[in-house]
Amino acid sequence: MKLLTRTIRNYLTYSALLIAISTPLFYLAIEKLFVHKMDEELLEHKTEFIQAIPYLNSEDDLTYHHRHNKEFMVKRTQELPLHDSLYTYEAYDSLEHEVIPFRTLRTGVVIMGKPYLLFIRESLVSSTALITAIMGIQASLLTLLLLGLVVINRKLSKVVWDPFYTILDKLKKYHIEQDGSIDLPRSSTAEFRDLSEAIKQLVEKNHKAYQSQKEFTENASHELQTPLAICRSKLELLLQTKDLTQEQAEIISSLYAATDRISRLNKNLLLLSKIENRQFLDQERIELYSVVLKCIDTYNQQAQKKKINVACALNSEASVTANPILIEVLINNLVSNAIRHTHVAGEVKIEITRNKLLISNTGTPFDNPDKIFERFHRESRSPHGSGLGLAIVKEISEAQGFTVQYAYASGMHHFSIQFPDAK
Amino acid sequence: MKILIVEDERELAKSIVQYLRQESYVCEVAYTAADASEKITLHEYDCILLDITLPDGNGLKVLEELKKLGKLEGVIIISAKNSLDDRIKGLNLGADDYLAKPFHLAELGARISAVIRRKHFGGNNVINLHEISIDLLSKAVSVKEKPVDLTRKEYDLLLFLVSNKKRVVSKNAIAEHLSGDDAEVFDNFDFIYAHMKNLKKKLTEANCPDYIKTVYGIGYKFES
Repeated sequence: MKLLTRTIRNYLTYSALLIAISTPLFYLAIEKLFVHKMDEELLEHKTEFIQAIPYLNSEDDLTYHHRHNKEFMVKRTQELPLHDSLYTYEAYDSLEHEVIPFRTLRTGVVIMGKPYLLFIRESLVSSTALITAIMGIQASLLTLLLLGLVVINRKLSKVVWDPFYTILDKLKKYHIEQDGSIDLPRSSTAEFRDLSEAIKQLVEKNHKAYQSQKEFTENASHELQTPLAICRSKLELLLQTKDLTQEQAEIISSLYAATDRISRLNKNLLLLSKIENRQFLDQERIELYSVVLKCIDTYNQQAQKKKINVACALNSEASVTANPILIEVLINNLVSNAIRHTHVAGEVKIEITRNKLLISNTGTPFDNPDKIFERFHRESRSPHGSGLGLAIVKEISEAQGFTVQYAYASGMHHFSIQFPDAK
Repeated sequence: MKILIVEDERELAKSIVQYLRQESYVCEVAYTAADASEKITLHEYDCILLDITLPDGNGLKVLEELKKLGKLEGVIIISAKNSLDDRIKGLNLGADDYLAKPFHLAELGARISAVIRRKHFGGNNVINLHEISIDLLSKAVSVKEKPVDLTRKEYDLLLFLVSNKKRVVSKNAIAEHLSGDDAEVFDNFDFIYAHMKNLKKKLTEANCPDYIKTVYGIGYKFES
């Protein structure tokens, strides 16, 4: 849930509750006030009537009075009530033709020496209408207030949170391998300014760490080249010594193989860090099938030796804009892997479609298919792989904007490289 | 043939000298750029091996000096920095070849002999070794003037061995030479045996003595 929605939701819930509870309470309060006021009026009427009693001299006077003052009504009674009573009752109003509530005061009076019950009533209709009107206005005012709050809050939040979203956006777009520092807007809000500063520092630190780690790999690989060269050259010289025995030759051979392995490992590490450092910038239009054919030619001997059937379906028009060296390494790694790991008399299929390269080979499923693109992860225990071949494939794909995928189906490993559509 | 080795790693320079000595090359060594500059102004060399990273400056500067002196032919850059930039820069400045460390001495031997032959024999570049003659331009091989039909790989193999004659060349060096720089070396060197077997067979069939000797399964040697 967005922060904005969360705050607004809380406001809304509170306001709705407030309206729901306050409206009937308010209604009851106003009604009570009204009835109270009405009761006071009724009592005043009573006083006025009592003041008028001395002037009523006959039954006719009483009837006359009633005819002109509909709210008054007297009734003969045996004894006078002890208290005045006030109550509301509903009666049919012949003028309005409807049942309406009346507030009534019942009291006892003595007219011309006889006890009478006096009823004074006042219609509550006008007051009810008034209350309803007031309530309506109050409810709509509250609603308007609420809506206004939501709108203002939303607008204000957008403005207030704008730096936050800008920072977030910049962070999402930030790539540690590409940008050294991050450019964040200077906010006038103290909190966001602090946030920007903290992020800037964090990014710079991270970038420095990343940079030195990258440089370390590259420098280490470079530094290793010379001692490796010395090691290898001495072995070659040792090989030239006269009267070499079989035993010595075997030792030299093992040392030689180990040196070769270090050398390959080193070369691949260097290649990886160069790809990461984006040192392959040249872009060319490359025909995929010619790269694949050249690669197959390189490994043809090995394939034949292992009686591997290499089947190709190459679209000769498929081409991709990329760095030529990286494309060669990418295809080379996949093809050489396929041929190397396929058992004797197995099958390797290479397919190029318009924007896809598919290399499949027979084999048993991997133990950890999720890890095959990780550095130094090995599925086979062959001592000759550097454990970096697929890591390089992945790194190249990322650098060049390809999508690399692996799947195992019907006894075959399938590696596919999806190239971006040509513009 | 006189070769100047500009390399600050003494042990590596020593190895190179020792390896090349067997091929009747006369080698001189310069450990610094200043040393190299002095030597190139005073002497003529058939081939110069130039390390790019030197303690007192970039080897490419030595290359520029050579260019000024008009002594560019026969420069092979050897560098631990296998960067494309350096390679292109070096070759643009007029170096003949570029070899990245760590290299096989046999590979270096082959490159040096190629550079020297190009420099000295130009258009008429034929290696004659006993009965065998190798025409480097047409890439044709003949034994006692009778042509031998070799595949591309067999030809490369023969030339590689001949360029390093009288020395043991390891299978590793051969494999790398035949597959090219970027090729991943495979679990075994079976494919070399196949090429070697065919090459030997073709030469023997052409009445050529078997000069190629196997050394304990570790490598081969072209005896002469």
